[in-house]
Amino acid sequence: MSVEIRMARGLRVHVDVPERVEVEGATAREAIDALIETHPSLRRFVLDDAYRLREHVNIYINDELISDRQQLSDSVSMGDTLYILPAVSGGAGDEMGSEQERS
Amino acid sequence: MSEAGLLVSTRKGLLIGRSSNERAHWEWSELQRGGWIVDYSIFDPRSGKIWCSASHWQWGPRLHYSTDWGESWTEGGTPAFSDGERSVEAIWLIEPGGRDGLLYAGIMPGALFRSEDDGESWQEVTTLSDHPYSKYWEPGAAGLVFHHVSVDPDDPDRIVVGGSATGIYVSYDGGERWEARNAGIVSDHLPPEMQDTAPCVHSLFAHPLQQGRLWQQNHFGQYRSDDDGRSWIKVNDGLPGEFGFPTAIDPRDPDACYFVPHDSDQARMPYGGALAVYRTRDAGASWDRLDNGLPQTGFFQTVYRHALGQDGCDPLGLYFGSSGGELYGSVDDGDSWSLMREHLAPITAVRAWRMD
Repeated sequence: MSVEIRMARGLRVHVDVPERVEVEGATAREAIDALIETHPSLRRFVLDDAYRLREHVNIYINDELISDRQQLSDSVSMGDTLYILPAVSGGAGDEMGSEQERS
Repeated sequence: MSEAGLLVSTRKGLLIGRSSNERAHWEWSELQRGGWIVDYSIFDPRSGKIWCSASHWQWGPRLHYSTDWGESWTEGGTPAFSDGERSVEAIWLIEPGGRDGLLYAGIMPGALFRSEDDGESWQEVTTLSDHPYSKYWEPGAAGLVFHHVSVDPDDPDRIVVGGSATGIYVSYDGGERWEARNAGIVSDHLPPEMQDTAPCVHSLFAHPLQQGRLWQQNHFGQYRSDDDGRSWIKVNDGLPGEFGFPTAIDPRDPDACYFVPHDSDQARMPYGGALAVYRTRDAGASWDRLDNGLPQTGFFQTVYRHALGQDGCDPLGLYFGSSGGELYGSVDDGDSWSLMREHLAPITAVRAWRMD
């Protein structure tokens, strides 16, 4: 079934992708896989080496944060919108200097 | 006399400097890779590429290179684990190897990667990851990282690597087998029977002119080795203390080395707020305190492990950056210093090269 994926501006400043992409899929994983197949440059931005969702990236289905960040098994339905968004937690380490000594 | 290029990596981007008038003047690029945490940058004289390793809190690590002084950047391959468990968090080091197209990458979490096609593809050096001592490796304050690699310019199969807190390993066959070279290093964080397993290396260089000569800043002291790390000689006499991060060698002289001692792993800043670089020219038997032009009061910043570089010119140019975004430089072997830039983001790495 067809769902729309919308990419955040904070992602599009780094990788050349449209704001909206229509893909086929019954789960968030299938939709993300379909997106990456057509836009492979997104792969490393959204998923880590083990194909897990990056720690500071969120996926919403309509107005709900997905519940399965490991497998992305949340279901999507025809007409749903899936949002790929940077988590605001992403800047915390920088401001707090969590690796400040680099030792 | 020669001119030099300078790469100043910061937590908010990269600055590229190019000297003129015998290093008296510097022309600076605009901020490159702005907004990304630039972990490391280096110039590869073989390919003419400036490599830039940057990571982003949300979008992960990337490698880019430029062949036009940062006018444009091309994304290279990015090292990635293939075991379905680990994921590359940051690329702390890019080191050109001895053969054309050969590069090494020091990775967090604790691994070494190798590329044989000039950074297009990368493979984990599993012979190192699987070393029997790897079970003893433990993260330092910033994580488990291999951050120093020296490749012998005359023998690309001789490789010396070190990390936090992994200890030191040497290979003589291009990375097929690795020998731990930690005997004689005193590590307060390890019990007596484990002293030779995983010392906390802060910086490590093999000297290109004298095979076997290694210089190390360790968490618990400054060391020299004359036999590729089979034994280590502590060279603290004349230094204000044991702790510190960066090391710079003098490529003209195996007996010369530079450290920036910091006050313990508790304070992590120069003693008494007085910034100084220390230089030996007699293999660590004695040390010169070099503070001419450096702030001698109220300096409460850290000089990170990669943030001291040398340009290979004669006299030697030395450049270092601080966690407070100040860049200092010397073009007379460290005898005098000047503030080159300020108000930058925390400086993670400084690397320089001679432009022939």
